[in-house]
Amino acid sequence: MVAPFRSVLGPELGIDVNMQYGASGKIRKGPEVSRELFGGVLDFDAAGHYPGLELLNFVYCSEGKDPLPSGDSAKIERRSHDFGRRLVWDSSFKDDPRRHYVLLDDTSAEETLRELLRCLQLEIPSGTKEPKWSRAHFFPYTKSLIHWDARDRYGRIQLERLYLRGGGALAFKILRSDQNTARLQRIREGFKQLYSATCQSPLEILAGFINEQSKKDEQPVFDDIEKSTRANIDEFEDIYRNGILNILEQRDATSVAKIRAVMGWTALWLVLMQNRRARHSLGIEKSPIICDCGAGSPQLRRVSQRCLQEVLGNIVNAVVNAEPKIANAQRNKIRSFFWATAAANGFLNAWRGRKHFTLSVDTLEMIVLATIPTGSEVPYERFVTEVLYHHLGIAVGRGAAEASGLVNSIDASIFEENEAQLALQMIASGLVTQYSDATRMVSPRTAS
Amino acid sequence: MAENKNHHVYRMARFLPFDPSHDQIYEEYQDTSDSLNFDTVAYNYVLDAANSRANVIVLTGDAGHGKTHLCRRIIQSFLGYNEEEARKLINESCDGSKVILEKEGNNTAGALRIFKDFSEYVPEIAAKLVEDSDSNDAVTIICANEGRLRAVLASKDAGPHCAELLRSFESSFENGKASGDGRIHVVNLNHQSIAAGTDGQSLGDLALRDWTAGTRWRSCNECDAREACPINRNREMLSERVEHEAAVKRKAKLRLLFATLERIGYVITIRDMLMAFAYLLTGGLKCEDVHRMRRHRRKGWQQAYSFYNLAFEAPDTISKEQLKRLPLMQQLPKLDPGRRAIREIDELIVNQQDIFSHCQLDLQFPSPSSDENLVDAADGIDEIIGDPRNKKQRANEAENVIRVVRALRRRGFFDGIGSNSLDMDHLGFPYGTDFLSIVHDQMDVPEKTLLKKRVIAGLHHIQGLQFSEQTPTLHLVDPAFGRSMTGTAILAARIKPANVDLLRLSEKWGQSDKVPHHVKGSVDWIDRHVVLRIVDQQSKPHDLLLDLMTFDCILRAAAGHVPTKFYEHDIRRVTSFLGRIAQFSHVSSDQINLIRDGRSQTISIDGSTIQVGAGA
Repeated sequence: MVAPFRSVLGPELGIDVNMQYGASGKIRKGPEVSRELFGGVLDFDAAGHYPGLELLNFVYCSEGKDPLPSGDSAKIERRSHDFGRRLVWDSSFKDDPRRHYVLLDDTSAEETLRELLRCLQLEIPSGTKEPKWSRAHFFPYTKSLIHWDARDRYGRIQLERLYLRGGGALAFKILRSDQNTARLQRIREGFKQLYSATCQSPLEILAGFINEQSKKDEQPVFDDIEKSTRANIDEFEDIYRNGILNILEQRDATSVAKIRAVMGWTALWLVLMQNRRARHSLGIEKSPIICDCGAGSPQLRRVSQRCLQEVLGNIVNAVVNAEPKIANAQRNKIRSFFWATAAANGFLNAWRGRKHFTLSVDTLEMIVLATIPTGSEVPYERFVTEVLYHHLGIAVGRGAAEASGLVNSIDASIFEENEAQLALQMIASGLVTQYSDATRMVSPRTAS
Repeated sequence: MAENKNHHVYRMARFLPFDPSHDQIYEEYQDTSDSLNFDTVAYNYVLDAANSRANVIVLTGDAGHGKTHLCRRIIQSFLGYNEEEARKLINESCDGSKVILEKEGNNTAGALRIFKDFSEYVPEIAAKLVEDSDSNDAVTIICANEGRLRAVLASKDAGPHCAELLRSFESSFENGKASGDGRIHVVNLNHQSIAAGTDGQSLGDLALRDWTAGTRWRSCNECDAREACPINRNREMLSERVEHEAAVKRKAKLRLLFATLERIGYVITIRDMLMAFAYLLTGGLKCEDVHRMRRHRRKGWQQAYSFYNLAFEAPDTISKEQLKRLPLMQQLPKLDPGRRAIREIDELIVNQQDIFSHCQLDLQFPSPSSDENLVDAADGIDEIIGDPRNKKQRANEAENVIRVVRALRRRGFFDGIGSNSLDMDHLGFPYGTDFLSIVHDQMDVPEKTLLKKRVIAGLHHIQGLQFSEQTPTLHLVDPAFGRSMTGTAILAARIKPANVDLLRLSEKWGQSDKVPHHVKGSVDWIDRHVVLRIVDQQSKPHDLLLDLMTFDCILRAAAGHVPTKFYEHDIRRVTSFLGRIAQFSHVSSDQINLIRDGRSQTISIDGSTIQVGAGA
């Protein structure tokens, strides 16, 4: 038996090579199984905020002026931002010649820039110690801050996938292969406008300068992962597209809020989709994700914890069904994408320890921006049943519990309290306006 | 002497939602001897509007504000019916289909068409009825809570009249006017406060005065249980006739308590208030309960039923489920002064004796040592502290001390034993006094300037900025740095202190005596918000409404520390407000301004080099 060819380019590129060289009947690896089940590569390493970052890379660094180009494959001009990232996170930066050419050997200037850029770091939820520079990314607050993965190989900066592994490519593919051309056009316009407020901002000027000093692609390159990603699999993709459209068209939100929402919504949708498609592939009927919004019921907490275990179990089963001989490590990477992405985006209570589903302020804001069109408002009860339950499959209130049969095993009043607690949180963060005891309206007006 | 029953106690018991005859408190089922008729500001406003032949008067607000009650009073005053007749009309002719003509012999030529309740119709039918009512033959009064009203006016059968009503309704929130043209009036009872007005004229004071009036308690004078009755003791503590000065003070503190609750965003309806007063006076007890407990209970049980303890802690006779049905009692424990240690007060109540006089029923606690003896809390906690020998005794002692100290602190708050400046501290808002100075307009210019400086420092802290020296200028960071806490950030704008202002909410809409139909003149009003106004570089004003909680959060931040998790929502609201202003105030300049370690610096980009220098 021939050992599979091990690529130096990273595991997912290795798969493509294996596909070309390997014979049929070979054990398929994680990325391939993930692509079959979910349409794109979902991997623990790429969990968290990375799918959103990858999507923005595709949208803003693709060849030409069109943020969502049509066609089979997309070309992308990748940037490394190695100057800024190494300045902040690389201890060997002291030997870099750019300290002389760019910073004029001014250590205090270097320190100031370091402090400033450090504030822009994309959060690493699992990180406790100082990351390596290739592990740390900038949050894409302005257009020029968007950058790709890069690493140092034998003294040369190499642009390659490390943490951007395909979740964002899937989102990109879904957006650009939208059958509804009117919506596609509006999303294109939205992306063009997203950074318009900051195109002259001091931060953008600084980011542009840093980009100029960094390694980037001379010529746009084809992206194989994006090409092999599958879109238009089910109707749930429309929920994602509509969400992105709503976010981009919000008039009152700041651009930072919208960027956060685009990234958060991409991550949230991916995990919800992962749950749905795993269930679908196993032939299990849909069942909601039960969220404990902190009303203090131990029963609901346990149910929510069990619900997470069930979701993770389903993903594992779906993966094993698709490829019975898959290595445990590969299987677990697909499984862990779910909890890690959910935890990083405030859909789980914590990164470590016993976990249950919850909705953090960030998540709520992002859901409101994504599901309620600008300038309109929705009664809170409808938001809980229609938006959260029917569209997203998240059970919070009594209506959802009744519709999904959860009240047979849990007292309905627990869900009522849960719903009331969520309302309190949303009122406090300004997402719900309380007009009187009968009406609470959810609107994206104050979200940002 | 005998064990009497006071009818007034039973009447108050009906106000408690767990009493079997609770439904009698609703306007439709009341009888004349029961009714409480206050001349609220809203009542006078509606009557004036009716007299000036308004086209439509919309009464909106939560259930329990007294919309139906107001209608009944208007029928009486405007059309000349008596209370019985008016109540009959309310029950029979107020579905909007009929015009109610004035009583014969009344010569005002008035007529009313009243929609008592929209919830009986589906929105489309209600919209049609409203549309049909657009005529000049009568003054139309529409009662609805806001949600229902919006649904009706925006339903698909709504015509131009509905659209006009909806416009007036929505603009009332923006311009703070109850009426734009004098034809359509919107009286939003959710703005009505039970704690508005001073000198005992608030709705709460009026209700309490009525319920503690001597005539209602006459039968208690002859009662055997009088000296041991907690209900009677509560009445005495709150009755101006019995304990004049102390009662005035206690009522003022009750008013402050309710006003504080309103200022943290809770709407108290008149029904809520009456339920709360009924509970505070009786503790859910009736006369026969008191008689029974007096015989069977261990001495010292009455203290749990004193009004100041009831407000924050339920006695053992009230179950959790029962308490849940008293909405106000869910909220009040958040403000419990018994849980806040203020050294100055604790010194007085624990160490210094003679603050309270001896042998008061509400200060008698059962003795931990014997069943027969009582501990008089007027002596502090000396009598409780014994010589505990084991863990159980120690725990017991601690529990008793806590109970007594909490009760004393609460009583101390209501009796005003500390200085007035500590009042808001008692309720958990150390900076509440500043809030009150703004809403009561009691600040002179230097005080206001200093307060503004602190607010600006708070806004800096919330944005993660620290300055080595105090600065009166408001710095706004780039929204990208809004959540960073490292003290380094790019500056988006500097706002002069003159362009930052703190106003009370009613001032935002102009002086109430100059603006016609100002919302302040349409209901009993208190300012629940302070408006933080920032005028940006394009001279555009941006307003953020700060309730007591957010205001306190900003000033806590100014003092150097704010618990970010606890105030997460408030901080989020403030930072997003500042972020919105910052986003649009980028001035194009060759330099990038930043703040680092409290100092201003600039970054200059020159071709392929970058330099950092001291800031402007």
